[in-house]
Order: sequence, then C-alpha cells, then structure tokens
Amino acid sequence: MKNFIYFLVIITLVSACRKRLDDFLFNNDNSITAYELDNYTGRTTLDVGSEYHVEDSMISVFQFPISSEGENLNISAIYVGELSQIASDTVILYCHGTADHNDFYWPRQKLYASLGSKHRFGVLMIDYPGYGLSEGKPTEQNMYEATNGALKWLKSQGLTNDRLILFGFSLGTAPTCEVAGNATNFEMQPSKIILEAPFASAEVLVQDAALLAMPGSYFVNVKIDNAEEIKKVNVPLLWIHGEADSFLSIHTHGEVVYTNYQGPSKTAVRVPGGDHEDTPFIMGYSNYLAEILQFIEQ
Amino acid sequence: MVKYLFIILLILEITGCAPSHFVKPLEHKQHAITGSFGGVLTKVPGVATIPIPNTSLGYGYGLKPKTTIYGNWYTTAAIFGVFQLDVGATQGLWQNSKKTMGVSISPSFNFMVDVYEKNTRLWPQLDANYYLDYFSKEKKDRLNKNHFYVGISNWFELQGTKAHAQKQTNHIIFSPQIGHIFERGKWNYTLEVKFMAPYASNQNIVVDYVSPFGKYGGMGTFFGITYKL
Repeated sequence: MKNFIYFLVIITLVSACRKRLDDFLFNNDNSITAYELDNYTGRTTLDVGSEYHVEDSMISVFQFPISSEGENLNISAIYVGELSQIASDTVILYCHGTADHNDFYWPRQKLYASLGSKHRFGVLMIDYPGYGLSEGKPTEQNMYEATNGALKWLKSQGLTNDRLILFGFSLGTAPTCEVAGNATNFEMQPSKIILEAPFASAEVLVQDAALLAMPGSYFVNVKIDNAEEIKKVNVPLLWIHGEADSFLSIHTHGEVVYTNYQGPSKTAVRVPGGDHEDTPFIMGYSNYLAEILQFIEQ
Repeated sequence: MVKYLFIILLILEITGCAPSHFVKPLEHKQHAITGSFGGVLTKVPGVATIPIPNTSLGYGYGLKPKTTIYGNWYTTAAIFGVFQLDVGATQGLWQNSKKTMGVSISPSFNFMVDVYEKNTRLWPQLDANYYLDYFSKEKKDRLNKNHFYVGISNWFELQGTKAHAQKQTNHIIFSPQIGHIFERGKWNYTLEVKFMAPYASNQNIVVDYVSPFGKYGGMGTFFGITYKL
C-alpha cells in the first residue's frame, strides 16, 4: 500500500506541471554558426545538381531587426539576385518549412533562382526566430513578425505589391496565408501566392491522428488555421501537393485549403507519387519550375 | 520530424489510452484503487521502437455481486491541460458453474474538457471481454490466480463533422484486445495488448506503427495495477 501511495504522489506531481505541444510544431535547429550553403554537409530538402548553381556574387546574407513578443530580435536572411534590381524585379519571398534552417532549404532557393532563366526573379528566404542564425524562439507570432520584417525590408528596397510573389512550403504556408488573408496587418500584400504541401490547421493534425473529432485545443495553443485564412485571400493561388504526402495528407490538408479558397483564380497541381519533400524531384525540376513560371506569368 | 512524431503519439495515447479497467467484476462491496500506463508502439527513426506511456488513476466498487462501478482520471491528459475522466460499470453477463470463465461488458463515458478554450467532448465506450481463470495456487499467506482474457473495445464518435465541416466517417473506433491478469492476494497486475483500429489506414499520418496488420491500425501495450481494499 505504501508503494501505491508513493505512485499516486509522483503521478500527481507530474500532472501539476502543465505542458503544451506548440514547441513540437517547430523542428528548428539553431546550432549552426554560419550558413554554409553549397558546402553544407547536413541533410537537405533536395539535391538539385550543378545546373542550378548560384554564383557567390548573387548571394547576399544579411540580418534585419524585428520586435516581437516584447523582444528585439535579429532575423537572418538570404537573398539571391541583384539587390539593386529589387526596385524593378519581381521577387519571390519563400517561407520555408519546419525543418532545421535556411541551409536545409538552400537547394529550393537555388531552384527558384532559375525560374524562367537564371536570376529572372529575386528570391528571399528567411529563418524564423529560433531557426538557424535568427534570434528568439520559434512561436506562431514570431514567425509572422519575421515574415513582416522581410516584407518591410523588401519594401525598403523598392519592391511594390504587384511584383511580390509569396511562396509557402509546409509550415511556411501559415505566414503565407496569414499575410495574404490579413492585408492591413502587414507591410506588403502579394500579387499572387503559391502553397506547396499546405497544412489545413492544427485541429486537422490532431483529428487525423485520433480518428475522433478532437479539438486542437487539447494539445496546442497555436491558432494556425490555413483552411480559414485562405477564405480571405483575394489574389491568385497556385497549389502544389504530392498525392503520396506522408506528412500532411493531400486529402485532409491540401484539398481542404484549396477548396476553401474563394479568390479570383486558382490552379491545382496534384503530383502522383509525390511525398512531402520530394515533389519537385518527382515532377522533374524543369516541369516543376515550368508550372510555377506559368502561374507567375499568366 | 521526431518532434512531430511525438505530438502524434501523444494524441494517440489519449485516445487509445488504457487497458480494460475491470474485466471481471469485483466482489460485492469491495473497493479497489487502480493505476495504468502503456502506449502505442511505434518506430521512431534513429531512436527505437517505443511506447509513450499514458497514465491513469482510478477507483472501483463492487456495487452488486455482478456489477462493478468505476471511474478513472487520466493523468497524462492533465499534463496537457485536459481534464479527462471516464465513468462506467462492468457487468458480468455469464459465468460457468465452476466460475472459471465468464463474459463481461463495460459501458462507460469518456469525458474531456480543456482549461484553455473549454472545448468539451463526450464519447461513449463499450468494452466486452471473455475471461478464463487458470492455474490457481495456494500460497501460505495468499491465493495466487491467473486470468486470461480477450475482448473488444469500442469508442463511439457522436459528432457528424470534423474540423472545417469535413464529414466524420469514423463513428466507431473498434480495437480488439488480449490480456492477462496476475492476481496476487490483494494486488492484481494486468498486461494487455490492444490492436487499435486495425481496419483504419495508418498511412500519411507520419507515424511508423508497429502493427501486425501492416498498413492498418496500431498496437498498444499496457500495464495495469489494482489494489483491492
């Protein structure tokens, strides 16, 4: 009996330490001391080959400040293209997924730098707070503020709304939908958005796993809800999703976001055999880029 | 990726949560305190095949010779700010003349509410088990007994829709189970294996389950302990 009472006491104490799972949505790695880009030896999202090589002269690594949740933070960014051309170029702001940091997604940034022709479009990619070299903690609000900081920086370089394309991948579809759906809260508004492997909401993550209609609030506080935010988006949408996405199901996540979109025009690219990360590879990089280019140019 | 897996596993723990609480009704007017832990087995890449423990604490009372009422508080859910409680009854339906085997059912309600948004859910449950007693042995200060059981556990989803007005298609979550109870005097120790939703695809939700049914369902292992007052 004494042992059982000890057991009760331990369990009660453990239960008093309330936890939430928000932190687990962010698979950030901030252990690096510099971006290594092509020299990075860790895991990366894709292996894109030498034809997508970017000259060092076209790469700018820099930081910009933001203020979020009572903290002043420096956000690290990589721009590929001529900085002096931002005032006249079309620029893609790429909001990366939940993994690691910019080095992980560097191959994708190189791909987009080759859209149409080399450096036809400028491509900006940032690390959210707590990712890579960016300061702070990864939270939903910090992620939005960092994205807004990037928009502010682009605006200061002379970019205008009509030349801004917002591209979100996986977790990055959250700031993309948030910006595009809430015009007055952000520095700039995109002329078009691209969502690759979007997730619908934290609630869908929960319900896919539980099978039951369980509220997301049982596990997380985040309010990320792309399925609702997309209803407020009033610019053209390109949606790309692997039909074999084992991370965010095309049926319960992507299709819901795409169906809920009520804007002026939408294009769907469902990729047979495509998983979460490898859709560009499965499509073939040139086909993948051609779809994106066609959407931007139409 | 590993972090993400952890979320999904914890969600599954809370829905797959515990072994059968009372397979065999308690003696009339007998009180018992119970505890359980266990979880769904999964392969975590680069780590191992592990269960994430979910814990519960409970109480049971032998209301009638064949009827035990019980309630359980889910302590793992409490860690996440969710008050989860189930209340139910185990009713002995049939027993052979030697009282060495029998069938019981356990209807119950599983209630959850979170402290953040006060979202409330109620799921009816119905468990049914067949048990078999064997190899009892008289010790000098106690009677050791062994019980084998096999049964099914069912959760019933009453909501017609899921998030974003999507149609709810999973109205019955059906999980077969097999277990063993080591009865040692006032203490019972239960080991149970549950085959969770063996008809439902376990693909495209990132968890790499260890399931005897391959791409379907999951398998949980649970340990329960009962002290009879």
